[in-house]
Amino acid sequence: MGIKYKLHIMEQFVKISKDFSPTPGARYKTDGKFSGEEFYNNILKDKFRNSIDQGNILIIDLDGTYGFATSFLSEAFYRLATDFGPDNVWANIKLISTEEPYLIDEIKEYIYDAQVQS
Amino acid sequence: MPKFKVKWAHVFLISLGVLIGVIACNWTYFELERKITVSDLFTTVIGGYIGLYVGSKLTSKVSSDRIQKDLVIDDLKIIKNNLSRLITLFESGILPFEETISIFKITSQSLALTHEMLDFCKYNPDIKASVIAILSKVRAIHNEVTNVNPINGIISVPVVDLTRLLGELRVAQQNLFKAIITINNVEF
Repeated sequence: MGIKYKLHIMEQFVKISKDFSPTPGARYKTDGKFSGEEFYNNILKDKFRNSIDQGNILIIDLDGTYGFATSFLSEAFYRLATDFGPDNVWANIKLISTEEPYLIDEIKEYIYDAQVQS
Repeated sequence: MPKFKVKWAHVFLISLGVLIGVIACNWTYFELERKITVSDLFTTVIGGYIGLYVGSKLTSKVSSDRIQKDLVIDDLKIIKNNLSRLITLFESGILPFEETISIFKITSQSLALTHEMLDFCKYNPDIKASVIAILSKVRAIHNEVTNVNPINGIISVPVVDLTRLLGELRVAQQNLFKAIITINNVEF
């Protein structure tokens, strides 16, 4: 019990399929519901900020959705990296994907794209 | 096999044996000895045992290899069906956002799982390389298509790109056919 409680307070957790939508959309709000822009503004930004403030790692679970559009992931994580810095983001998040493990490398590319383009 | 056929098969085999025996006894080129030495008996028993042992081992190996092949081929058939669904969507020119993304996810997942499963089989590296190449191609097409902003829930890919991507999907499907045929024909 004690160990479980410790883990709980040390880590922030986001499961996109539960906390946002099982059917994530495209890039911008104008493209339709559950866009990457919406996910960043409504969930990811605040969760990451809270996590950093508390000195924690933010765990992001990508499993359980119907699939991700490239535009959704690139928009959300590009914005995160632009606002907080790619190295800072990569050091303070942990991505989980048992269904599509190749997504983790793709997201890393989107995060470091922000460094190249800024 | 029905009982009736088994019965007639026995009758046929026994008759054939008797016939061969009669011919061999009356054949002037052969001389049959009425005696058998211990070493001959030993050789016959050992020979028979080895024959049965090798036969049963080979049957068991062929059966085990067939199970492996069928497992991989069944998985590849599911991927083939999903690729066909994608090709149908691309041919229609209308790519519903959620449906397209969902089929891409299932296809990529199946390819990745099959690739992992091949680690447990004894297939040559070409088959694994072929599955990786198909997975990379499917992922590349997914990334290109889902980077396009949808309009009213439909991914609006320009016609030129749609034709090119359709061609690439067909090549991926052909490579999948080749992989299935190769696995089916492979010998261990």
